[in-house]
Amino acid sequence: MASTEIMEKLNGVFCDVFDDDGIKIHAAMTARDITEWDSLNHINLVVAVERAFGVKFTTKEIMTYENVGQFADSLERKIKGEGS
Amino acid sequence: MTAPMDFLEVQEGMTVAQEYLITKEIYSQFLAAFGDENQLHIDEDYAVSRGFAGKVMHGAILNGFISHFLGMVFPARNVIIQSVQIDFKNPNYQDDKLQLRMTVAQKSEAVRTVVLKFEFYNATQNYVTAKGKVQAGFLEKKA
Repeated sequence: MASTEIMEKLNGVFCDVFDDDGIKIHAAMTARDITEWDSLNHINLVVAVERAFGVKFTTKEIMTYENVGQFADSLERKIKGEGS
Repeated sequence: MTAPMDFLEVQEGMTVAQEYLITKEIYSQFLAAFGDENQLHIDEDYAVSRGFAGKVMHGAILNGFISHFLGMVFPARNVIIQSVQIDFKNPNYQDDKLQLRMTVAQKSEAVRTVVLKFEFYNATQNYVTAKGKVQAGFLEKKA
């Protein structure tokens, strides 16, 4: 499970991308839980997370994440320099 | 003729520039197409009375230049604009010469997308007329 600090910062990125300050992300959350999470906003989210955290994802990595928790865990490993 | 650049060849920091001229024809066709006949855009005396040097060209004309730039000037041809954010800093007038300069600020391989920061410099008036950023995706050929 990603740290609280990362989840809080990631939550801010979600709020910006989906233009909704009421979003509270959690590990089991998926695209089905956010109305505005369409294909373009999916791209916007990846671009915004890469910019905010200074990391890069691959297409293959993005395809494997089943929920926000897996995305956040992968993000944390990248920040710590542990690969994906 | 040089082959169009592939997504993998595009690098962060890469800069491309192009000059544009706001001709009478562009102004007239924009007016005819969209019908924005606000006094500021069509009435010289009115515009001057509001502190401008003449009829103010429509800011959205710059969006047309951005479209041309991404579609025809940027060395990768298979791009589609996903979003444009633009701040209009100063007015443009008919026959002004603009320099559009775009730099690849971010490249996301995961979603085949680039973010380009741009600046329009008005070389006739000697000021920056607009700044912003464009997000563009690279299309993949379907099998």
